[in-house]
Amino acid sequence: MLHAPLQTIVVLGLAKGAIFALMALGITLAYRAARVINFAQGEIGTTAAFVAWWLIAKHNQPWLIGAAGAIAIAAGIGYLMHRFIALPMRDAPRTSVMIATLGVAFLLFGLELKIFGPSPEILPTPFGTNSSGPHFGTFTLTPIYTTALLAAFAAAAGLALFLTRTRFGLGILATAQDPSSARLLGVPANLVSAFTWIAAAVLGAIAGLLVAPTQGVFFAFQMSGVIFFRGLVAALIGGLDSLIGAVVGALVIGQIDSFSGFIFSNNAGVPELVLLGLILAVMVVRPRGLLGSEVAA
Amino acid sequence: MERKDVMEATTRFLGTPGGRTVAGVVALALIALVAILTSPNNNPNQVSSLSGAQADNAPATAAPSSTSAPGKGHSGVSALGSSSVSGYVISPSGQRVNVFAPKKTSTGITYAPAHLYSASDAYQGITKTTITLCMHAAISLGPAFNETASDVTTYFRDLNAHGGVLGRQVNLTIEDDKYTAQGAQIATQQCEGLNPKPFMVLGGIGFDQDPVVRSLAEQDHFLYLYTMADDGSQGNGPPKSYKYSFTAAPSIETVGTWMGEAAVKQAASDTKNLGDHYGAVYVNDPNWIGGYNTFRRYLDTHGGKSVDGDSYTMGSGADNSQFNTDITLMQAHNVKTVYLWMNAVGADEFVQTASSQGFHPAYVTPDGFDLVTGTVGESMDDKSGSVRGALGGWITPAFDPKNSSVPYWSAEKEMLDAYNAYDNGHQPDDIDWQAWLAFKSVTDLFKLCGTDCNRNDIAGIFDSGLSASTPPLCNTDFRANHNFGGKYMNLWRATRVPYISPDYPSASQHTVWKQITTCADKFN
Repeated sequence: MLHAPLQTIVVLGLAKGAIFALMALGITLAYRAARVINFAQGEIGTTAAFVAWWLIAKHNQPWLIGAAGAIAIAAGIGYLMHRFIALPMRDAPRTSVMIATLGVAFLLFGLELKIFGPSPEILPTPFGTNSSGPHFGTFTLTPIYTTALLAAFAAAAGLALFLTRTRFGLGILATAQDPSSARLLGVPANLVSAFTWIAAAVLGAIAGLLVAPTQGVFFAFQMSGVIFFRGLVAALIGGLDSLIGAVVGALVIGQIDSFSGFIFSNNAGVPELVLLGLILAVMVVRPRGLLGSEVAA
Repeated sequence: MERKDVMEATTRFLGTPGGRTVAGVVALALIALVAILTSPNNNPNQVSSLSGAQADNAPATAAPSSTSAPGKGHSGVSALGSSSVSGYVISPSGQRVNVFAPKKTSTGITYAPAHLYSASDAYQGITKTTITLCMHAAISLGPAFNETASDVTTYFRDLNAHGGVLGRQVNLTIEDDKYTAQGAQIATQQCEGLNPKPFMVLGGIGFDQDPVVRSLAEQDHFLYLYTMADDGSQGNGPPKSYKYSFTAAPSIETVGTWMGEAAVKQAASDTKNLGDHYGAVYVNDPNWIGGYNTFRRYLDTHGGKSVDGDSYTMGSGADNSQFNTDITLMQAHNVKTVYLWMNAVGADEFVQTASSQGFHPAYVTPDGFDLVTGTVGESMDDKSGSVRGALGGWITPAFDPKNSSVPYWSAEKEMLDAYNAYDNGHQPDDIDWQAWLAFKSVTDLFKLCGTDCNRNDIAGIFDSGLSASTPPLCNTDFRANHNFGGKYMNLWRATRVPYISPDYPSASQHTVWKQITTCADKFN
C-alpha cells in the first residue's frame, strides 16, 4: 500500500515539512503582528529567487551575494507593503488588507514576467551540484533540505525568543493585540509595523532561496501556488498566532503530504483533497489550531 | 345561425384568454407564411446579396454537411443564377467556377471538393489580391521562447515581399490563446469576428487548446488547420472523424506508440543496463491521456509491464508537488527509462528534481524543445551520466543553426536569411523554425489548390487523401485518415556540444537535440 520503506516516507515528509515551515513562519509572523494573512508571502519568495538567480547565474556573483541581494529586495518590498498598505489601512477591515496583499502578489507576478520572463530557471544552491547526503531508502536528504530544516527551526526559535524576551518583541505582540493601547503606552506603532512586514518578507525570501532549488526549476508565481497553499495549511493547523505551531503544523503537513503521496501515487490531486479535509476538520474541532492561543508565542 | 350571431360569438370568444391565445397563434402563422412567400430564395431570378445572404443549397446529388448561416459569408463573390442547384460563382480571379465540381490540383491530381460551404461562402477570406488567415497561439508565453507575434510571422513578411502566394498577399492575424483552453476559445471567437473573415483558422501548439478549437470548428463550421492533438479516441478505439478540422501532424496517440517503440528499442540495444524497468509521468487529462495509453499499451505488449506500476499522474499545469514521491518510487523499482508526457516546463522540473536526487534515467519525451535542453539539458543528455541520453521527437527536423552539414541546411539558411532581412535583432530559435516550416506547408497547400482555390477545395483535397511533401518536413499522407496526415516523425538525441544551446537566449546548457532518425513511422 505504501510502495516504499517507512523511513523513506518519513524523511521525505520531514524534508517537505521544512519547506512548508519556512513559508508558514512568514505567514504566521504577519498574522501575529497585523492580524492579516499575507497572500504575497509566496510571491515574495519567487521574486527573491529571481533576484538571486540574476545575480548568481547571470552575473556570476557568489551565492551569498546573490542571497544578500535577494533578501535586501524582499526587505524593500516588505517596507513598501508597510508604507502603502499597512499604514494607510491601519483602521481598515482586515479582509481589505488581505485583498491588498493579494494584489501585491499579482503585481510581483507581473513584474517577474516583465523583467525576467516566463522561462523556468534553475537557482543554484550554495552547495553547487552536490546531491550527496544520507540515504533513506531511495530518497537522499540533500544538503539543501538539511539547511531548510535547520533554518526553519532556527527562525522559529529565534523569532519566538525575540517576540517574548525582548522589549521590542513584546511591543509587537502588544500592538497586535490592541494597537490603540499599545500606542498609548508608547510602543512605536509605525516602527513595529515596518519591522513586522520587513521581517515577514525576509522570511519569505529565505523560503524562496531554499525552496526554489528543491523544485528543480522555478518560474513566476510558482511559490504562490502549491508551496503557499501548504504553508498556509500548516499555519492554520499549527495555530496562526504561534510560530512554533507553524513549524509543528508544517512538519505534520509534510508527513501527511508524503504519506498520501505514496498511498495515492497514481492519483493526482488526492493529496490536496486530504489537506483540505484536514483543514476542515481542524477548523471545526480546534479552530485555534494545535498550538494557537490568544496570548504568548 | 345568422352572420350577426357569428360575429357576436366570435367577439365574445376573442375576449376570453383562450380566444386571445388562438388569435395570437393564427397571427404568427400568417406572418410566417407571408415571410416565406416573399423571401428572396423563392425568387429564382434574384442574386444573393453579400450581407445577410441566404445560403445556397448544395446540389441534390451531393451530401451537404451544412451550409453557412446567413450573414457569415463575406467572400466578395456572388452566386450565379439559381445558386441553390449549380454552385457556380465568379471567383475572386474572375473565373466562372463551380465550387462543387471535381477539380485538379496544380500537380494534375483530380479531387472532389467538399460540400461544406455554399457557393457564396466558399471564397470567404480570399480576394483577388489577398488571403486572410487567423491563428491562435500562446503569445503570452512568447517571452519564454524569446518570441513575439512579429517574430513568428516573419515567414509571411518574406513571402509577401516576394509576391505572396499565387499573386496574393497573405494577411495573418495572431490571437493570443494564453496557452489555455479557455484562452483558445476566446482567441478563436476573436478570429471569427475579424473583418474580413478569415479563410481558415490556424492552430498553434497546445494539446489543451487545439481540441477546444477543433470542437468550435465543427460547431461553427470554419476551416481549421492545427498542429497536433488527440484523435478523439484517447487511445481506446478508432479515431474520430471531423469535417472541418485537419492536421498534417500525427495524433498524440500515434506519437505515444512511436515513443514506446523508441524506448523499447534503445533499451534492448543497451547491453550495460539490462532488465530495464519503464516509468512514466503524465498528465491525466482527456486531451493528453491518449498519448500515454498508447505508449503503455506498446510497452505492455513488448516486455514493459512495469510501466503500469511505475506510472504516476501529474497534476495540472506544472504542479510538481509529488515529483519527489514519484522519483523515490521509480528509484525503488529500478526504473531506467522514464516517459515524460507533459509540457516542457513540467519536464524541466522533473528532470532537475530527479537530478538533484541522483536519479538519472533515460528520458523519452515528445518535448523536443530547446526550452528543455537549454534549461536542463546537461541533466539528461548523453554526457550527463544518465542511463542513456534523452530521446526526443517531433515532426520537424531538429533546429541546428550552427551545423551546416545537416541535410536540410539550405532550408535552415533560407529561414535565417529571411530573419536577417525582416526581423533583424531577433535570434531565430526552434519555435521560429517550426512555425516557418508549418507556414511553408500552408503556402504549398494553396499552391497545390490553385488560383481559384476556395474552402471547399482545401477540405476536399484532404478528404480525397492528399499525399504531399514540403521538405524538409516529413511527407504527409491523408489517405488512411482524412483528418490526420502525419505518418512520420523525426527522432532526436539530447547531445552535449561545446557551445551553449545557440537559439535559446536564456540557455545555460551545452546541450542540443541532434537528429538520429529522419521521417520514420517505425522506431523498433
